[in-house]
Amino acid sequence: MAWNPADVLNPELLRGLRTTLPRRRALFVAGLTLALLAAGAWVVWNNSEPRWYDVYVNDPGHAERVYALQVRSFGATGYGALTVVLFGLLFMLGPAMAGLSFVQERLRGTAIFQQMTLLSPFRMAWGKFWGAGALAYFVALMLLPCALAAAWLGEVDPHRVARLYLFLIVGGFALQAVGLYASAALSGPSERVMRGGLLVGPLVAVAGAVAAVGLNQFFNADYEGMAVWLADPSAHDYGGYQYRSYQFFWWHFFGARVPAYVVVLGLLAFAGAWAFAGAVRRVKVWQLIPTGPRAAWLFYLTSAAVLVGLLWGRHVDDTEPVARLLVYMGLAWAAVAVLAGGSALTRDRLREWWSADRDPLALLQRSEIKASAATLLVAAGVSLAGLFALWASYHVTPRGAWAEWRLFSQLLPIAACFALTLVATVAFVQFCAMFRFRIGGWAGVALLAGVYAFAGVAGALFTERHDSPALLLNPLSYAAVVTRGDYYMDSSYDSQYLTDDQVEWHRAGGRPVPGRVLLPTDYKPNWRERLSPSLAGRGLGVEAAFAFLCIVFAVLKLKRTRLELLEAPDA
Amino acid sequence: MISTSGLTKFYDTHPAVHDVSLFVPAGETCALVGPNGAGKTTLLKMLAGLLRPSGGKIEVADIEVGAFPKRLHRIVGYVPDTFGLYDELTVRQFLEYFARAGGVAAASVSKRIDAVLDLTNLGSKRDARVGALSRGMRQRLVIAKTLLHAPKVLLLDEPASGLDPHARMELRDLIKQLAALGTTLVVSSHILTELADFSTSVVIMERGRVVRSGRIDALVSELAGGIPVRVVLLEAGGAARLAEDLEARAEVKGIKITGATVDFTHTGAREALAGLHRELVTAHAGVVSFYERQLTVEDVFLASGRRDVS
Repeated sequence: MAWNPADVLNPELLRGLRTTLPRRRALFVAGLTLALLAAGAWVVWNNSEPRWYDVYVNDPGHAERVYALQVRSFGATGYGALTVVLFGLLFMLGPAMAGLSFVQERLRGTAIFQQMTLLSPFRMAWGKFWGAGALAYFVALMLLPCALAAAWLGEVDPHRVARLYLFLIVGGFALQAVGLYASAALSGPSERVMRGGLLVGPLVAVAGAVAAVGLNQFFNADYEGMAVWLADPSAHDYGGYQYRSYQFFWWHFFGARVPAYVVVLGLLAFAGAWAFAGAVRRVKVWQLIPTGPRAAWLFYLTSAAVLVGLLWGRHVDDTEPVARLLVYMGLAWAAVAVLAGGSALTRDRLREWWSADRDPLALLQRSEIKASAATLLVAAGVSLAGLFALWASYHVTPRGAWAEWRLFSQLLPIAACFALTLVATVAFVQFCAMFRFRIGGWAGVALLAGVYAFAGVAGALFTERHDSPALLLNPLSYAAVVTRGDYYMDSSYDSQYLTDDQVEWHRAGGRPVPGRVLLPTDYKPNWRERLSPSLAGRGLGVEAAFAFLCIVFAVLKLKRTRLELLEAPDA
Repeated sequence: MISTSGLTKFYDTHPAVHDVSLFVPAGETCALVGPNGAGKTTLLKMLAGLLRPSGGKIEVADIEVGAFPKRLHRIVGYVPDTFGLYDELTVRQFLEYFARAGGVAAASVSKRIDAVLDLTNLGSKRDARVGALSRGMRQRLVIAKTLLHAPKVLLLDEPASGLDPHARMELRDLIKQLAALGTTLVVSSHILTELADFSTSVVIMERGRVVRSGRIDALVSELAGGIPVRVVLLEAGGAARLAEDLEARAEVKGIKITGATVDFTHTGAREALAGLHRELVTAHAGVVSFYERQLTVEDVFLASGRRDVS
């Protein structure tokens, strides 16, 4: 009995293969690729001939030397060119095709059939993922052996090749998953297909190109050389200078020193895995399969853990902890704002639900509302937990002992201010969503960003005063003001280069010498000014007043909207 | 088989379906009738589990729609009014995809494909590319795809829209065959004559609401208040005298003359109707035929007072 690929392959993948790469097209693409490869090789070989000054004409081994140099140059150039093409295929073509996958189904009119298939959402997304990249993989698999052979001929560092190709594969898949998610998100249950949905593909491709250009430096660096240096800094000159420059390529995760490329790979894999999970979830929503909020909770939890890991602890030659705390607070705040924007109850949604059931409290019984409220609470809780964890990691002495936490003077005011800001954000976004904005809750997110940006700018104008209400309204500037001048939050550890005499002096005194880069020995608090309790209290008051106003306005608007909708449902 | 209660769906400010409660028993062929914009497509999509209602409940074969969409899709087939196809695939590849994605056991895929191709009369197009099929064939291909998993309930939304007369006849025959196989069918259309031939029950919708529903014969009987009878005369001239004769009888009402045809409703027993038949044939020369009229969806619709459907 003849082998039938349909018996073993995911049906969606097989359909994708049959649609994008039927036999004739595959043969044509293969032929074209081989022809272009041969033409390119011919051009590169001819351009790889060494210059006359590269070789000694009188050298007895002249011909062999010329040939060897030409082969090496041919290999190196060919490797570079093929690597660029491979990045184009996996970072641009594959993600772009994935970005079009669900959108195309909607535009073609086949989405309704896929909505009814009995394929599980995971198998559907899995099939589309691999099916969308079929063309890119097909050409890449033809080019990959040639690129590796070229790298060998060009004597390119194999570690560098391995790192770069790992980046190519992991990054390509991650971007493809992001494209798949974007496509699935834009072809959800809503009948409103985003205008210009076909732009998703090109946009994802541009994102892929930017990622490839921006991140490849982390994979081309000489980590092996740096590792040798870091193992024994005292054996090298200019230790402090080197150490600072290595900060760019050696990052920290929960305090452990990790090569930057490993972190980037991990982040790409993390983003790709969650993007794929998000695509599966979008398919579930699209197929009207009931979904719970636990996946969203897990996403927030893991994302916060990764972010905390990256910003964890104090390190030599790194930025001040407060700057990293502000980055964390800003991202956590943005995440909650996005969540609030996406789950806000719009006027249309309220009209639909109240039309079906006029009981105002019936809203609270809806599973969507319960899930959104629980997810917002979890996101806020996770954000605060991350804040506490980071705070703890920054309040450690250079020798690893726990330091004073400044619990009541700094930590609790900042945490309370942050919590109030999150509450105000959710209430404000919900308030705006009940107006007739076409973009619903997202209008609230945009307006809120404007309000805080305005407050920040206005506050910054009062440079001589650190306690203007406008400045204190923004939780980030509040945190910066409250921790200003604090040794643990507003100072950095600079590396020191010790001379041989200084090292001897340390040894003679029985002091530890951990290489030439030493941690500062003076950690007496370096206050420039004392924290004013009234400042912290005033800031909290401003935040609380704003949160209270947002909640009151949201409740009043909800009541008003209900009256309007019940009196004139078509309004 | 299909029941809804208080079913409501709002699109923004527009109530596409409002407070719809209906029941379609197993094995029925139900005509879903109404003008454009009456909410037929929205109702069918909600029955198929493709659209979340704003309120109300739906049960199809004891499965609560919304709670178990995959279980529902195992027993329901839906043919939308507008759709696209994978034009690059062959008919066989197209059906193979949906068979495997639709949970048909691997060993039975070929058999099922052959069966639905035979049923939809597409056997000769097995290896043709989908993009090369005519509109009627594409419609039949979608029905074939929908039948792959042998659904107990088939929802057809404007299936004859855009088809030529020959394709419509083929489609009508196909629907009759499916009904004969015991499939519960809900067929929507705004063209009544399309549905008249095969429907056993009807749901009439207008502006999102059901204005009348039930078995056609029961509805006709209820609306007409008796047995609808048609008498056809040899010449139109005799119709007026026949009508006069009928008006004098207490059990006859709703007399309507159309040329040489006289329609009326007999409210008495069937024995009395037989007697009336004898009397009319004896008293009036030129009675060509006297029969109990088979009423259609169109009659129900007209009897409901709705006239804005073509």
